[in-house]
Amino acid sequence: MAGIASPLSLSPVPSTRGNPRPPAQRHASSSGGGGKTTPRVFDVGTAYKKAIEDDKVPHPIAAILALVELVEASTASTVTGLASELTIGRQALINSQSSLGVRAGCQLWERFFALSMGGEDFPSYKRSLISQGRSFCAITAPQCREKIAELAVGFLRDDCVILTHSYSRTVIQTILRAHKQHKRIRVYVTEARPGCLGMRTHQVLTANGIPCTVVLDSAVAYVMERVDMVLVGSEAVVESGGLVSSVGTYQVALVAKAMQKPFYALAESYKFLRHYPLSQTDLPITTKSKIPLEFPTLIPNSHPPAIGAHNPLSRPTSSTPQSRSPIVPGTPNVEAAGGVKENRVEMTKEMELINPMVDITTPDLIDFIITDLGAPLSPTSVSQYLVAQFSS
Amino acid sequence: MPSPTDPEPSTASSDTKQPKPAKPQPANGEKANVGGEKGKSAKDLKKEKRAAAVAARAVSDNPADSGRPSLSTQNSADGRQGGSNQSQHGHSHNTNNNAAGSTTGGGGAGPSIPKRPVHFSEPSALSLSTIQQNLFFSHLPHQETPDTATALRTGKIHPLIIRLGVLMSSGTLRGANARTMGMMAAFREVIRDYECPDQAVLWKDLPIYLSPMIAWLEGCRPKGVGGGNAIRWLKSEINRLGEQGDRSEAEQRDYLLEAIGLYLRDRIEFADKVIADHAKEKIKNGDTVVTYARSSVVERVLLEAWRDMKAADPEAGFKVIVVDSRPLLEGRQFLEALSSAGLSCTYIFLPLLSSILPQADLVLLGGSALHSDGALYSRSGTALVAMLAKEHRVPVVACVETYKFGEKVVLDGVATNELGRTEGLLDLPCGKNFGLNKKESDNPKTGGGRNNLTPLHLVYDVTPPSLITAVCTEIGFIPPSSVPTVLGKASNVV
Repeated sequence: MAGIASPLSLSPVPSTRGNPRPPAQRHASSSGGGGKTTPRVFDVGTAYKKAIEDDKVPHPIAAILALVELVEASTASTVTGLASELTIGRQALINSQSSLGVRAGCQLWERFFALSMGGEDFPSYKRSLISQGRSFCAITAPQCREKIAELAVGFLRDDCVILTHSYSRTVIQTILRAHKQHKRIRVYVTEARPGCLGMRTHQVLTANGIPCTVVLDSAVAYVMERVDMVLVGSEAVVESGGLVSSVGTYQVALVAKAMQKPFYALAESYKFLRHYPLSQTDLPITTKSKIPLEFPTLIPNSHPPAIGAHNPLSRPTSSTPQSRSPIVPGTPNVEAAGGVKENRVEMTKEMELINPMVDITTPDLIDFIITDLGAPLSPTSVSQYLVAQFSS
Repeated sequence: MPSPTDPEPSTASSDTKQPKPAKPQPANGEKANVGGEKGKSAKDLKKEKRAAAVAARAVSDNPADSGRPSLSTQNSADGRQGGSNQSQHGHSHNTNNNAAGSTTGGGGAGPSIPKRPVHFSEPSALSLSTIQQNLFFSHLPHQETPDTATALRTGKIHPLIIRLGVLMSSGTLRGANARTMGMMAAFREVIRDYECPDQAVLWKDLPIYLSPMIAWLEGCRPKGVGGGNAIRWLKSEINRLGEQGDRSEAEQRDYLLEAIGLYLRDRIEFADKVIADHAKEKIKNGDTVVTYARSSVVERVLLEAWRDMKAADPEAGFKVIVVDSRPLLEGRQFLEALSSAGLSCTYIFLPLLSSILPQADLVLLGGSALHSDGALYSRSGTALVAMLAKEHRVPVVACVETYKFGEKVVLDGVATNELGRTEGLLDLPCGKNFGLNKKESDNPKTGGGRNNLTPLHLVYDVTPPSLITAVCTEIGFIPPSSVPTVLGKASNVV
């Protein structure tokens, strides 16, 4: 079972000598000739963006794809050279992309690279590296999702009500599969502000004829008593057994726990991340913005009184009147003041921006994490798996 | 000093018992190679040596089996020096007991000091100490002044080891890391000085040579899980020498010396470095970090975090709250180290912790051991800190090197623990005597002391895994529930 999880296994893959390699070889050599002056002709970031454009490709896989392309384009002639190039590429990718999935993918690739090192001569090693990476992304990764859907569908009873949060391909696939098995399933999906990806889930499910209702994020507690189980996807699974997922998952889990509804998470094993967060802010997010929702420290003198005078009733602005930092300068507040239509004041873009994109669901709230590793794992066994995999 | 000469007299003295291996061997040698010993193949030599060692061992094993490895010397010593030694030995016992009597009177630490302060199961000849009267904790070993004179006289114990034992038992050398490093470094010197007797094989003789020293150290202060792991590792390393064969004695010794050096470096020094690297990530600008008592790892983490933070941004910083408790007051030294490095520290005693914790962001703990269920075995009071931290939802991080991971499961701090010294426990800091002092209370001879007073000092306690958020080891942060996985891996590697 674990074989699927670590498809990047050491077994010397019968390198699928097909179309991709010869051109890749040529490409590599040509760029080697041309790119001597600029050491980094290859941009991982663009490769990643290209890969992620495909709706089916999740972040970790896109990251691996980008790194595989980096290896293809690499001009290094030794393993060490390749390794250092990869390290640079990986760092660039991690720094430019905020998604933790990227980090997970990079970690997986790094481990695979380290484990498969040695043995054959360099060109064939590189070839097998590339072919294995490609086959992992093209074949194994989609299989993971299939497998999870297959495992998770057993948890969905006939005539059950599911609450899901935001948009997760794996969750949708699971629900669709249950639907195909003629289970009557009804789904509540949260709107999941600010991305509003819940609407996308709603679209997909209703298009497939599954009754689906969108719930306000603030109405989760209200609707929880009608729900039989909570099913969520994830961006990454961290070493504590917790879940990094789109913001709001934590509160859904808390409400579910309080109402004693089972909370199941679906996660492909390539989303396992070697990181141990101690608090919500303790995530390796490298975006330029600092800690989400920090109170600003600087007080520009002119704006607060003006805004207070303009709309003393508006809750959002009055709660941030002391907020005047270089990050949130007067402009958003002014916009807010300008954007008042009727009596409703909406959050400005800047206000949204300082909000977190993801949160951490603590392991004690999760009943099971359903992965492609076989039987559903408890959060504890996730961390055991991770320790066993990475601590060698 | 005596050990190299040991096997010879012992085999000689026990000729009646084990005549075969000793006698035929020279005969064999003569017969097999008339051309001289040099011409003999290395294999033959090895075989003979092994046989001789087995014989020697069989003899010295007998007394060892009786459970008093230290006294096993008596056997050979008597064989060598006859009755005079015997009488001297007996005399030494007497003086011992007298000395013990007087010291216990003063120290209040309890029972007479046995010839080797190793076997606590032996009921002491003198009165039971107050601690031992307390049945609930009577099974625990307690610290007492080691009897260096007798230990030296046995000649079985390297002076370095004796010194180490005294340092450990006096509390000068404290902390699992320091003790383990001290012990392994001392054993390295012992092995350096060790000379394998002619008829013995190093890998078989060395453990026998070392065992009285290990026992002596254990008597001075139980070595704990970390030290036990290190000793077990050392023994397995010595055993491996036997499997490899084909190496000269000097090579084998060099190998061991180097291996010990590597062990100290990899399992403790580098591990601490990596732990510091991991743990300092969790300390952010403006945080308040709570620590308890003193831990070398935590000290390192805080100092490095401070240095890095200052290097990145001179304005940045964090606060440290050092929590301490009587009677050891280890936090004071810790405080010294931190504040001299420029950290802003607060020093409080354990009772105040609950009012401080709401402002804390992180609790960093060291530990003596981490048991396989994830329970942290650490200075008594740690469990209290962790409990309060859990109550206030402050993350608790235990910094423990993997060599301190124990395979046992310990359910509470009663079954396994150590009794600390109780002097000082009743000395109130105000200097006033409340009539509780030992002078009146523990004169067992008069019996007029306070029999109803039991000063009790347990050195360790057990923090259940549910109170620990994460364990920081050299392989990264792991939840306490993953300790068995690490243990399993470690045993696979070895």
